[in-house]
Amino acid sequence: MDPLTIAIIVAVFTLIVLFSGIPIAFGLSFVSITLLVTFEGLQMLGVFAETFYAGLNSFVLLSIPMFILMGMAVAHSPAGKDLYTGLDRWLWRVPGGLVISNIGACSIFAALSGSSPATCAAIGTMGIPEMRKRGYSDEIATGTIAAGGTLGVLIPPSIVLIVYGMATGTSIGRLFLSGIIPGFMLASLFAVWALIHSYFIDKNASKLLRNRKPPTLKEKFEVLPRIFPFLAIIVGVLYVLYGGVATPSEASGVGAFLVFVMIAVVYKIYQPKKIWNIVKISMKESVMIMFIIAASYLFAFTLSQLYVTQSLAQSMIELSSNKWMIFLMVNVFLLVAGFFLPPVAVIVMTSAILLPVITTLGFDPYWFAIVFTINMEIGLITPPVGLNLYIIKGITPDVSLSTILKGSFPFMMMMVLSILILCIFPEIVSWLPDKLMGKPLGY
Amino acid sequence: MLLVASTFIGSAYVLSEKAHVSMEWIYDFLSKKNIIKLKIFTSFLSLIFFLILFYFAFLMVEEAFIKNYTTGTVWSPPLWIPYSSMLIGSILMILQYIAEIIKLFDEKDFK
Repeated sequence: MDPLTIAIIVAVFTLIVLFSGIPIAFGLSFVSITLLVTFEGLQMLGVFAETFYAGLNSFVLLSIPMFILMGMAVAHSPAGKDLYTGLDRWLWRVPGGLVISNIGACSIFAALSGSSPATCAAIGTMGIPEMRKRGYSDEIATGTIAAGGTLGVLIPPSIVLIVYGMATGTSIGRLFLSGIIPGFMLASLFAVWALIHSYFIDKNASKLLRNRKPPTLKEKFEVLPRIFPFLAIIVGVLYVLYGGVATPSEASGVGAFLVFVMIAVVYKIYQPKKIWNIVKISMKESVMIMFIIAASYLFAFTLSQLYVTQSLAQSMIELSSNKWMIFLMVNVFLLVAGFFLPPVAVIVMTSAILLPVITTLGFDPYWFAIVFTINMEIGLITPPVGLNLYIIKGITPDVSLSTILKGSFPFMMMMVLSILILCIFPEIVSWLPDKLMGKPLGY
Repeated sequence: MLLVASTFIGSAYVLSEKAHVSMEWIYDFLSKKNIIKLKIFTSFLSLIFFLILFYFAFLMVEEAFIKNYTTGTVWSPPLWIPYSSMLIGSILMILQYIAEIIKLFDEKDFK
């Protein structure tokens, strides 16, 4: 059979299986096994357990549970609240200040956590009720957190970038450095939208602002020492990573340790019961992600066995002679894939297809990683598997999904805009790593 | 290595806490009874997968044990130990899925 026909069969079959509500990790594995048996015969099954094992047997992947632990530990301390009350007290005069504070808190938290749902949950549990209480509309309150949470995967540390680095053999330290400036650029684009929204659309919010008692100077400075330890940890982890002290896996361990020390000292969280709870929740999240990674490896293996990967990459290059045309197609493809699959799965499955295409066309793989990640961020706040949407639905059960979507839509447009900006000025990505690490070899 | 072990062994617990991500979009369009029917069906699919995994993980452990494979590192521990984590994991998953299916059959709306 023609590999492209197989590709279509695979896509349709996978979607049907996943839509049935089966856990994504098991659904993907089931699809891969079925495909292997139908197209290659029973003897292919012999390698499948080994593929499954090999997908997870990697030192680099160790950083994922560690970064999750780090994020969860911060999320379960009152730290998120401190972060954004601190920002709010300094930004009180700005219209939409609370919204901007939430975005800011999301981006600082993103620098401590590698996952997007964790960021969403940490800032959202405090931020959304507070914004609604102060009279912001449900749409902007939920939309901000949904979008702000996605910064978690762009601003380092980031699980998505770790998996990308592992799947494509690029340097994780460099990927992290590449993510910093685009991450803050995206955060400021979000803030710009929050400003526009409160100036022109939601007049109610600025009216509320005038009635508010301004915080005193003492209040302003009171919160600073509470924000400081976070910045210290961020700087510490960054130093360990880029000072050449340790690999990302080791740096993640250092970060998790520092966070535990910090919450014990600052917030007095050292009771075994609370620590156990944090470890339990982190385990749940990391097992879920790791299983999806293993299943995606199996799926990618199946695709390349069926020669789908190679022929798809080939036909993509042959389809058009204009490299931006192909790039546009790649983006649309990623966007659609991001709707249905979690980011890590998309990366493992498609990196073998896309990376040769991208490098053949002369794009920088680090730059592509960032564009890739922003695409995945859009997927995180769109149904049917928008993880952030479910988190927000969990925080505010009385707000309907369509309201959340309406609120997050302008932020999605901001993400598309940022992809456009990155296409026009690729230096935004490459400037910082080039400055700190020198130009990459071979590209 | 340890990562593989914790993932596979932890997976059953994660399943019991219903923390594996899935696309639950379709549930909005179905009646309660049909949701449970669908859940039973998907649980069976996963059960089949883990039965197959169990069989092949067993073969892997057996081969590594008989032929005395070790990891290619300096420490060089025998490979059947990490491999058996997959075996234990799949046994736990099979048991957990059987429990889930029984739970689903017992549910009120199903009867």
